[in-house]
Amino acid sequence: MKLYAIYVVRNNVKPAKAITDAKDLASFGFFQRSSIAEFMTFMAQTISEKTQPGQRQSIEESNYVGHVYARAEGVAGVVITDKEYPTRVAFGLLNKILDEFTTKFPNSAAWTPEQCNFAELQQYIVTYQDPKQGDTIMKVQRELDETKIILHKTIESVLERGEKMESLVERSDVLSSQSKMFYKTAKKQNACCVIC
Amino acid sequence: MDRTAEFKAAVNSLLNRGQIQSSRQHHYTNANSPARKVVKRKALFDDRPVEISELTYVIKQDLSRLNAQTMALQQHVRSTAAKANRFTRQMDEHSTSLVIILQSRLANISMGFKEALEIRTESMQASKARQDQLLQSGGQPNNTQAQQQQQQQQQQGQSLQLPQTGILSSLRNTTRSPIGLVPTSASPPQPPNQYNNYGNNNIPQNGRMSPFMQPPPSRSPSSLSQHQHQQQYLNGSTEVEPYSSSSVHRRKGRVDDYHGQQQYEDDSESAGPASMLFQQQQHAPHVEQHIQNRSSAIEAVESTLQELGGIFQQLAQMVAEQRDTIQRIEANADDIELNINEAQNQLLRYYRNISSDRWLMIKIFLTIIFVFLVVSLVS
Repeated sequence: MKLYAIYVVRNNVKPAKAITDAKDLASFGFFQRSSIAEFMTFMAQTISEKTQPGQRQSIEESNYVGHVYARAEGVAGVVITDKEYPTRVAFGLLNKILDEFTTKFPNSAAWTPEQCNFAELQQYIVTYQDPKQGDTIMKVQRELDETKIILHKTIESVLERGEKMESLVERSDVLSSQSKMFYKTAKKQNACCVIC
Repeated sequence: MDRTAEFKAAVNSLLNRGQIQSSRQHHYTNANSPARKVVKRKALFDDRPVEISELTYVIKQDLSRLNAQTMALQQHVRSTAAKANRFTRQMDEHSTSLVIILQSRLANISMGFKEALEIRTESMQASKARQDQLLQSGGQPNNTQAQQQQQQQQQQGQSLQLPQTGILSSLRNTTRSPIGLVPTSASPPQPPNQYNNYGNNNIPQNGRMSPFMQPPPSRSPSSLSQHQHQQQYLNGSTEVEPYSSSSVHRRKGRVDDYHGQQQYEDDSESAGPASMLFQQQQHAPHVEQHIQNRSSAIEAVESTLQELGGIFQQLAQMVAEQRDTIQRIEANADDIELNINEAQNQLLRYYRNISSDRWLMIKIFLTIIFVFLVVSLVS
């Protein structure tokens, strides 16, 4: 499950223009990276052109999937991943990015690659490489699963404890009866008729 | 099928004689069993839609034919009963009861057929939902072909259902024409005609037969009038009324079983294959899908939390059960301590007795001296 690139594209003009982006193409060979990067940029721009504001889409292309979310202000966020990346996480990421972007650069005229420096994108790519890390819901789910595992182990140990308790009970019963015999014998010693 | 022809010939030939009973029953049961077998077999053919549609078609034909013949029989019985001969009265009663039995059997068979159809539609819906889920991220236009086919089959398969459940299937496949509902799929045109023919014979119907043998009004508008005609004959059969009213409803709203996806289907059937248009129509369902994804993920979290809660409760219960065991152990340990203390006391006393008992010491010395004396006397 890989996250390849995040783009913020301005789609209220045609052709759409990428404002800023972050890429993680480490999984491709060194010589293919530039062409793949161009392809991805082109794909991001194309699909954000075709997306209406307020619409979310997932487009599948060869072995990439582009998730695009267009905001009403005229920007769209595009996330390019492989096919296994969960859709929900991608859209959650897009929501977050676009919110931050619009709060950081509310001036729509200033949306040019030079003026907008959205360094957090690179950070997001790194964090969201593992969807379970980045997405809140998945984090919660993961922690809950871990807790469940721990609880299962706890229950097993409690069961063992129960078994040990049972053996303890038996042994204490035996001890109790033995001590009773001991006491009776000792008492008998005392009251026995003296050897005469 | 050949038997039913024979049976009909036998009915006609024995019309004058009035010795109808045994042969009639015999032939009728023979005719019924292939229909029953087909219905049973149908339940197994879950994944062969073409065969299923063929089978349903055949079954419908058989059922309608049998119904017509029983109607003819009933007519004949009534005509003979009109003579009211004293000698033939018992025979008339017998024949009327036989006719009723035959009709009830036919009704049971059609019930079974209807249930099989319902099962089939459910399975088809499930498979369709699965298909939609699998293909949701990819190209959805590929779905329309398969969906249309499914809709056709559902249409054919569900035509015998009770009217309330028939809304869903027939709606998908019909265009809204001012006359009535005309099927847009390539369903065979023959069944409407045959149903019309049998419908004319069906007019003096038993109340039980009506829900099953009503031909689907979506096939032809003339059958609608037939139903109203039937309604006049039947007393208080409530199924016919909602049937005709439901056909009115069908013209208006859409039944959303798959929420926005159904809308998408109908729209895409009418829209062109342009990708822009297609994406626009996908707007609402996609957003809904996304939201549904989120909600399902959150539901999963919620269920995990519930499980955790249950596990904690189990843990608490087990620990509480073990508390009893611990109490027993504790009681035992107390007993042991008590006993041992007592035993120690006894031993101490004994030891004290032994240590400070003069009388015992004297006795012991005397015994030793006595033993020495004896030994020395002997040696």
